[in-house]
Amino acid sequence: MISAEQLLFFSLTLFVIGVFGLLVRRNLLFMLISIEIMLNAVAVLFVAAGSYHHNSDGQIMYLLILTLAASEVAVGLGLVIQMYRRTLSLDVDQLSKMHE
Amino acid sequence: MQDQYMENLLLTVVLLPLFSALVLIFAALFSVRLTKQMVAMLGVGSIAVAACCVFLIKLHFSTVAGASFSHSYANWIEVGDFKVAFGLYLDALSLVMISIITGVGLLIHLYSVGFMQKEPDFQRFFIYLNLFISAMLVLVLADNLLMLFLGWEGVGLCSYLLIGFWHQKTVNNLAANKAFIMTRIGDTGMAIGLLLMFVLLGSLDIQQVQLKASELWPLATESGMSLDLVTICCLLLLAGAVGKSGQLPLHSWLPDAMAGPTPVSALIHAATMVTAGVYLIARFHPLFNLSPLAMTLVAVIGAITLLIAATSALMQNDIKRILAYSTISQIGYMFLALGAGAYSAAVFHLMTHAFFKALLFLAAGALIYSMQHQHNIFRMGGLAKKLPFICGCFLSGCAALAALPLMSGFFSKELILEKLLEQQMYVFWAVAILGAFITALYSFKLFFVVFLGPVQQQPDSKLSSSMLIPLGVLLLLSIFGGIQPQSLIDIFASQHLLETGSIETIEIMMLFAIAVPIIGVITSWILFKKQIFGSAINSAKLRQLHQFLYTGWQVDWLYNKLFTQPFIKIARSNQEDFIDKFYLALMRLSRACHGLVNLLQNGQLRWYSASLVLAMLLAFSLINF
Amino acid sequence: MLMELIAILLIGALLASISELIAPALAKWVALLSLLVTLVPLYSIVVLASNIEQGGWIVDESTLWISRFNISLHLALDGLSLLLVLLTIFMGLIAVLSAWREITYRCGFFYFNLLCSLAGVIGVFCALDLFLFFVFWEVMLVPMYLMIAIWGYDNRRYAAIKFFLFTQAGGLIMLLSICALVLLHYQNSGQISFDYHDLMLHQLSEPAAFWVMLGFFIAFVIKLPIVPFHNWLPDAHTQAPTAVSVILAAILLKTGGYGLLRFALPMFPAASAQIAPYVMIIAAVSIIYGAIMAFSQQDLKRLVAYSSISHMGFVLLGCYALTPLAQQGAVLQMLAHGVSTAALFALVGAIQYRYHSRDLAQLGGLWQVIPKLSAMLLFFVIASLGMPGLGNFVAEFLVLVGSFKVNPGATIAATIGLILAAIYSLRIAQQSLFGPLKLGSSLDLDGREILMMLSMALLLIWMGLHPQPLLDLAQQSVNLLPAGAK
Repeated sequence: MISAEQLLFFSLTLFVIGVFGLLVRRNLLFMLISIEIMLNAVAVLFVAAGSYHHNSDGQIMYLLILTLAASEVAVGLGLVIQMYRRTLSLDVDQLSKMHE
Repeated sequence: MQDQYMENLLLTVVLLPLFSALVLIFAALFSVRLTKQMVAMLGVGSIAVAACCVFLIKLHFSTVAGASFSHSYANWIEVGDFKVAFGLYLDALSLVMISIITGVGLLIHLYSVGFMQKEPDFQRFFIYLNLFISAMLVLVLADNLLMLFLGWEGVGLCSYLLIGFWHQKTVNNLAANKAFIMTRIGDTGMAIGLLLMFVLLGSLDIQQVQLKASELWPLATESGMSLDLVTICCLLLLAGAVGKSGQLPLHSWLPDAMAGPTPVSALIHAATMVTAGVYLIARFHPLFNLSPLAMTLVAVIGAITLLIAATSALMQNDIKRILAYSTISQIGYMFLALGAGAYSAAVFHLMTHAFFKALLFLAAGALIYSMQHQHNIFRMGGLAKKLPFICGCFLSGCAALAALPLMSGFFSKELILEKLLEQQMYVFWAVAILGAFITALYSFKLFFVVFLGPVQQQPDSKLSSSMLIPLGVLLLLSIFGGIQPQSLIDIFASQHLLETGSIETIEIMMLFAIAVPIIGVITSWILFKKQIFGSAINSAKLRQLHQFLYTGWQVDWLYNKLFTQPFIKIARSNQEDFIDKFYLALMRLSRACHGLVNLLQNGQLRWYSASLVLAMLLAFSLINF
Repeated sequence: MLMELIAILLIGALLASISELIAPALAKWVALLSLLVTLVPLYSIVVLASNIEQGGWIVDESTLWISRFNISLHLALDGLSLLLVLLTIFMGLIAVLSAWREITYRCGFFYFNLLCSLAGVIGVFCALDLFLFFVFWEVMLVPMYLMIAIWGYDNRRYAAIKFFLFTQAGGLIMLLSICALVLLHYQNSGQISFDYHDLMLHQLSEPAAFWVMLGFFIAFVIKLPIVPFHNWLPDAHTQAPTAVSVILAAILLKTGGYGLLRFALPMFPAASAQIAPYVMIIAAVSIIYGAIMAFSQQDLKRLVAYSSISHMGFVLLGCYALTPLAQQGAVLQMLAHGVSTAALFALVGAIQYRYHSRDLAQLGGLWQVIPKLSAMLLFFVIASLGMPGLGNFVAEFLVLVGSFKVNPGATIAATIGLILAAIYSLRIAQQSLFGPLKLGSSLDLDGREILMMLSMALLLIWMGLHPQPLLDLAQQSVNLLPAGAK
C-alpha cells in the first residue's frame, strides 16, 4: 500500500514538472503537453484523496478531468495546427499578438 | 356697503393697469395686430379709469384724522404661523401716493402717446408702462411687507425694462443692468430686514409690525445711539430705500437711467418710483421714531446726497442728467426731512417734486423731441422765442425747483427748512440752505443757457396736442400745487416736536432761507451774462474739479475699482472651476495607474503563466505562514 | 395605481421603440400619447388626494417581490411625492415637445430611453422599499447616460461618462448605506427588511447612524448637486440634447432633494440635526459659488447649469434648516426651479436649433429678430433671479424665512446669492437678447413652442401668486418629518 504522503509527493512532483515545462518551453506543443501533465497530476491527487477518504467522488472527478483533458487536447491541438499552418512557427514569444 | 364699495374701487385701481398690460402682452404673443390708436386707448384708458377711481376713493374716504381702510382680498402664503395675504391698506399717506401715481401717471401716459408716436415698439412701451403703474400701486397700497416687496421689485423690473427700452444700443442695456443691480443690492438688505422683522416680531403685516415693535422696544432715547435690534431693522429698511431712491451710496445708477425714453424718466425716475424710498420710511415712521441713530443716519444720508448731487448737477451738459442729479438732490431733501422727523413735510415735498420734476422732464422731452434728439444744453440757446410754451414750462418748473417764493416747491422746501430749525438741527439746516443756493444756481443756469442767449439750432418738429395738454396741466400744478393736504399733517401728528427755539431767530432765519434761492438766481444771471457757463476752463486745478464734479464725484470710477473689477476678476479667474481640477487629477491618476497595470499585460503567454505560478506560490505561502 | 402609472410609461417606451420600425415620426406621437395616458391614473390620484383631510399616504400599494429577502414592490405616494410626480409628467411632456424637431436620429430608441427614465424617476418618487428605490435609481440613470452619449453634442462621451461616474459613485455609497442599514436592522430584530417604515422605526445608535446617514447624504447631495460634487452637471447639461437637459434640470436633480426629505432626514433625525449647521454653510457656499461661476461662463447652457447649482443650494439650505417653513420652501423651490430652469434650457435649445450657437459672445440682439422667444427668455431669466410674484421668489423667501432663525449667518450669505442671481441673469438677457444684432434673422416661436413656454410661464405665475395648494400638499409630508417637528 502506498501512503497518502507519497501519493501527494508524487502528484506535486508531477505538477511542478508540468509548471516548469510550461514556463521554460517556448514551443506551443510542449506547453500543451505540460498542461496535460499538470492536469494528470491533479487527477492523480483526486484519486488518491478519494481512496484516502474511502470515497468514490475522487474517481468520478477523475473521469470528469479525463473528458475535460481530452476535449482540451482536441481543441488545443486543432488550434496549434492552425497556428502552425498560418505562421510556420510554434514559438509563443513570436506568436504574441494579443498585446496589439 | 361703504366698505364693499371701497374694496372694489381699490382693487380696480390696482388691477386695471395690470389687466390692460396683460391684454397687450397676449395680443403681442398671439400676433394679434393692434393699431397704435387701440394700444394708446387701452394703455391710457386704463390709467384714466384708475385715476377716476382714485378720485372716487378720495371722495368717499373718511376725512377723519388718522382714518384708514384695509381689506384682505385673498390668501397668498400660509405656512404654520407665517401668514401673508393679498391685502390693501389705504390711509392718507397712500392716498396721496396713489393720487400722484395715477394722476401724474395719466398725464405722462397721455404725453407718451405723442412722444412715442414714431416708435415701432409702441405696444411694448405701454405694456411696460402699465405694468409699472400697477406695481407702483401695489407698492404703496400693500398692507404687508411681502406684498410691498412684490411691488418694490416689480417697479424695479419695469424700471430696468424701460431704461433698456431702446435695447439695440448696448449703453442703454448697461445702464439698465446697473440700475437693476444697484437697487437689488439695497433690496437684498431690505429682504434681510423682512426676515429679521418676521423672526423678531412674528408678522409681516405693516401695522402689526409697528404695533409690536413699539411694544417690544420702548422708545430708545434713553439708551441713546446704540445699535439695537430696532436700529438694525431700520437700517435694513433704509438700505432698500437708499437703493430705490438713489441716495448715497447707491445713487450712481440714476443719472445713467436717463438712457430710457424721457416720459419714463419723468414718471419712474423723477415722480414716482424713486420716491418709493421716501414712502417706505414715511410708512415705517413709528419704527424709525424708535431709533434715533437710524433717524440721524437718514438725515446724514439726505444731507450728503443733496450736496453731492447738487454740485454734480451744476457741471452737467446733458439736460436730462442735470435733471437726474437734481432729482437725487431733491430726494436728499426729502430724506433730510424724514431724518428730522418731519414726515409730512417730506411727503409734501415728494408731491410738489412730482409735479415740477415731471413738468421739467416732460418739457425737456418736448425740447429734445423738437431739437432732433439734442441733449447738450450748450448746443441750444435763444429758444425762448421759438418755443414760448416750453420756455414757460421750464421757467415755472425751474422756479419751483429753486423754491422761488409762491411756487409749489417753495412751500414744501420752506416747510422742511422750518422743521429743521424746530428740531434745532442747525448744521443740517445750513447744508440745506447751501443746497438750495446751488439748486437755484444750476436750475437757472439750465434755463438761461437754453432759452436765452444766441440761437444755435432751430427747432423743427411740432408738438402734438397729447403732449401739450399734460404739460399745461403740470404747469398749473407746479405753480399752484403747493397746498399741503391736511390729512397728511394729521397722520403724522402723533410725532411731537421738541422745544422750539426762540421765535425771532427762527423768523430771521426763515427770511434768510427765502432770500437764498433768489440770490442763487441772481448769481446765476450774473454768471450767465459774463458768459462763464460753458466757457473753457484755464486753470488745471479747476479743470480737475470740474471733471471731478462732472463725473458725479468719481463714484462710478470708485465702484468700478472697488467692486466691479475685482468681482469680474475673481469670476474670470475661476472660469474653469478649480474644483474640476481635482476630479481631472483623479482622472489622470487613474489613467496613470492604468498605464502601469497595462505594462503587465504584454501579450507574452509565458509571462502570464509565470505570473500565475508566482501568484499561486505567493498565495500559498501567505496561507501557510 | 402607481404600478399602472409606471407600467404605462414602460409599455409606452416599448411601443415607441417598436413604432420606429413602422415610421420614425410615429415614435414621438407614441411618447406624447403615453404621457397623456398617464394623466388618467394621475387624475384619480389627485381626486383621492383632495379627499384626504389629514396628512399621510394617499396611495399605498405593496406586493411581495423577492420573498427570500423580504423585498416588496412597495409603492406609496404622499403630498410630496404627488407634487414631484406631477412635475415629472408635466416636464416629461415639455421634454417630448422640445425634442419634437431636434431629434431625428433613431427616434424610437430616444423616446424609449426618455420614457424609461421618466418611469424610473416616478419609481424613485414612490418607492418605499429601499431595494426597490435603488433599482429605480439605476433605472433612471442608465437611459440618461445613453441619451447623453448618443444624442449629445461634440464632447458627449466625456460628459456622459462623467455624469455616469458621479451619480454611480453616489449610488454605490447609497447602496452600501442601504446594506448597512438593513444588516444593522437584522442584527437588532432578527428580521430582514428593506421596508421604509420598518427601518424608520428602528433608530440606529450613534456612530453607526452618523455614517449610514452620511452615505445617504452624499448620494443625494451629488444628485442635487452641491459644491464640491457639482462638476458633472455643467458638462452633462452642455453636451446633452435639449430634451435631456430639460429632464435633467427639472426632475433628475429633484430626486436628490426628495431623497433628503424622504430618507436622510426622517430616518436619522439626530445625526441630521448634528450636521445641519455645517450643511447650511455648505449650502450657502454652494449658492454663492454657483452664482459666481454662472457669471463667468460664456456658454449659455453652462451658465444656466451653474445657476441651477446655485438654486439647488436653497433646497439644501431649506431641508437642513429643520423648520417646516424652510422645508416647505425647499419643496416649492424644487418645483419652481424645475419649471423655470427647464424653460431656460428649452429656450437655449430653441436658440441653438435656430443659430447653432449658444456662445454669449456670438449671440446678441435677438430681440430684434425673434421677439417672442426673447420675451419668453426674458421672462424666465427674471423668474430665475427671484422676482416676487413668480414661484422662485416665494420658494426662496420661505426658505430664507425658515432658516433665518436657525442660522442667520448662512441665511444672510444665501441672501447675497440673490444679488448675484440678478447679476448673472441680467447678463444672459443683455448679451443674448439686447445690443446690436450679430446674427441673421430666424423664425420666431411656433405654436408648439408658444404652448410649451406659455404653460410653464403660467405655472410659475400660479406658483408665485397662489402657492397655497402646493404648500398644503407639501405640508402633509413635511409635518411628518420627525426632525421638522422639533
